[in-house]
Amino acid sequence: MSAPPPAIRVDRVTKTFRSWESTEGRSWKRPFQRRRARRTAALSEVGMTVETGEFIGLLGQNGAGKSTLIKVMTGLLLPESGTARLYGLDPYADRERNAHTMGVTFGQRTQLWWDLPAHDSFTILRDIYGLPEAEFRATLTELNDVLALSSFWDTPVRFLSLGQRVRCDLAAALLHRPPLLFLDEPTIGLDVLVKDQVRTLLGDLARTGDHTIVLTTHDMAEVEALCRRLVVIDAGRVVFDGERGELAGAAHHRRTVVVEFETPPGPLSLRTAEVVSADGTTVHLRPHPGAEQRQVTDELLSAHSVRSVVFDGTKVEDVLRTLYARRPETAAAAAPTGGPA
Amino acid sequence: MTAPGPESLGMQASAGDRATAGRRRSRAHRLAALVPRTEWAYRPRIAATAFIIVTQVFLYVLLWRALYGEGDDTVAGMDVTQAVTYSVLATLMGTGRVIMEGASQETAQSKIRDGSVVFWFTRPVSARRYCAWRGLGESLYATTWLLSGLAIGLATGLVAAPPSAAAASVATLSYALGQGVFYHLALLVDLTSFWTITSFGINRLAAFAQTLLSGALIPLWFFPSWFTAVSGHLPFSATVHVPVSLYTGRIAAADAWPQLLEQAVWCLLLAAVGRLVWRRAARRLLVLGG
Repeated sequence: MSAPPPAIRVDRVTKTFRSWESTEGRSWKRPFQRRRARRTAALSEVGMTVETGEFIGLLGQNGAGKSTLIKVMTGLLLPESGTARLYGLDPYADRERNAHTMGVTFGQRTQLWWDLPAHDSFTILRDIYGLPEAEFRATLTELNDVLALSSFWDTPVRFLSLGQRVRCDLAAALLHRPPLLFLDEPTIGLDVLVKDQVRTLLGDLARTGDHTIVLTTHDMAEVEALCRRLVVIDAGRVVFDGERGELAGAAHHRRTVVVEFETPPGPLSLRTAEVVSADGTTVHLRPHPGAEQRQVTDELLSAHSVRSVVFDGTKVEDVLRTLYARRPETAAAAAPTGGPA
Repeated sequence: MTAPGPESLGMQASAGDRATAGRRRSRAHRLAALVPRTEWAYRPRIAATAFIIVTQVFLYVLLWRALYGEGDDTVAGMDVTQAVTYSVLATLMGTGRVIMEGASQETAQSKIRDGSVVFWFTRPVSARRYCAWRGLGESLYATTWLLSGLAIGLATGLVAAPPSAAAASVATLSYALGQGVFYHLALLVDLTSFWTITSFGINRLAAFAQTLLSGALIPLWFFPSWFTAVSGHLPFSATVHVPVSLYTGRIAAADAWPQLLEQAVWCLLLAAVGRLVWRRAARRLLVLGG
C-alpha cells in the first residue's frame, strides 16, 4: 500500500489574469472601443507540499499572489497549468467532496447569513454539511468555550461588531470539523483580545496534530507564535519555503547588534563580531557566523562598561523586508498591477 | 473570557475518514426555509407588502369598474369580473418575490459585490442547488401570499371562483410551471452579475419587461392584438398571464394544453440555459476581488 497523499500538494501552478488597458480620457466612444488585453502573472510555477499536521504561514506583500494561491488550493480558481491536490483530490473538479475536508475564511468576507441571527447560520451550515445533531451541538459547545459566542449569537449578523462577526465566521468554518484549514487573514482588523482568542483556538487546533492549517497574515507576531514553517511568495513565485528559523539565513540577512556604551569606546576590535558603524557611544555590530548571542555579550561586558545591548534583525518582519527589497527587476515588471491579489 | 488550555478544545478533525462522511447526509432541502425566515426577520416589510397589495388591488377595482361602466359588456373577451380577478391575482403573484425585487442580500449580485460569493463554491452543496432550494422556498413563500389573498378575495367577492373544476386544475398546473419559468428567468438575470459585476441596468430592464410582458401591470388582452400575440409567446407571459387567464376562463380549459406545453418548454429551455450559465459562472468566478 502506498503512503497516504499529503494534505496539500501544489505542483508548478501558473495562473495569469487578463486585465484591460484603459483608454485615456472619458470619450463617449469609450464603451464601444476595443480595449487591449494584457496578461499579468499572478502565480508562476508555484510548487509546495504540506503534510498532515503542519501549520504553515503563507506570507507575501499585497498583490504577491497569496490569495490567488489560496483560491487555487481551495478549488475556486482553475490554474492554467500545473496541478493542485488536497488529499489526492482535485480541488476544482472534486469541489463538493473536498468541501467536507476543508474549512475556509476569507479576510473580511463573511459566509454568515446577514439578516439572520448568527446561530441560524450555524444551523443552516449544519444542514448544508449534513452534520448529525449531536456532533453539531458538541462542536458548537467546544467552539463557544474558546470563542465566547453565545452572548451574541442570537443577534442578527448585521448588528455584530467586526470582532464578533469574525469569531462567528471562524466557528462557521470549523463547524464540520475539517482537517484542513485555509485562513486568509483571519485576524485582519481585530483588537488584541479577539486576536488572542483566535490565536488560542488556532494553537489548540494545531496541537491536536491532525489539523493542517494554511494561514496568510500580515501580522508577524502571529506568524512567530503559530507557524513553524513559512512559505514566502513574491511576485507570484515562492521565494522561501522552510522553517521559520532558516528564513534569516535565506535572506543573507545577519542580525545586527546595537550596543550603547557608557563612554565612546574608540576603535573596537572584537573576536565575535565586526563593527558596522560607530557613532559616539552607539555602535552597530554584526556577529560573525557561528557566534552566539551570549559570546558576543560576554566579550562586550568583559572589556567595556555597556549601558545596553540590543539584538536586532531577528524578526521575521525584517527578514521579509530584505527579501522583498531583493526582488529582481524582471519579477517586479511581471508583478500584477492593480489586478486581483 | 478565559484563555483555555489545549485540553478544553479536543477538536478532532473528523471529515477525513470515510465513516464520518457516510453519516453525513446533506439536508439541503431545509434551505427552502431561507427566504421565509429572512422575511420573518423583517416583519415590518411583510406589513408593508400587505399594505401595497391592498392599495394596488383597491386601485385596480376602481379603475376597471370605472372603465367598464355599468353595462355587462366584454372588452377584449373579458367582462369586468374577469378583469378584476385577473388584476388581483396578477398583483398577488408579483409579491413575495424577494430575490427578484433585490430586497434580499442573497442575490448573486450582492454576493459578488461584497465578495462573499466565494462561499457558494466552498460548500458541499453546489451554488446551483443552493439557489434552487432557496428559490423553491421563495416560490412557496410567494404562493402563501397568493393563497391568502385569493381566500380573502373570494370571501369578499372581489375575485370570482374559476368557472369549472377543470379550469381550476389547469390553472394550478400552469401556475406551478409559471413558477419554474419565473425562477429561471430571475436566476439568469441575477447571474449576469458574474460578467457585469453590477447589473442594475439589466435588473431594471428585466423587472420592467417582467411587469409589462407578464400581464402583471395591465392584462395582456387589453393590448393591441399583435402585442398580445407576440408577448403570448415570450417566457414572461408564462409566469402570470397564462395561469391567470386559465383561472378566469379567458382561455378555456379545453384550450389549455398548447399553453401548458409552451410553459413547460420555456421552463426546460431556461433551465438548460441556466445550467450552462452556472457552469460558465463558476469558471469565471472570483477573478473579482483579492
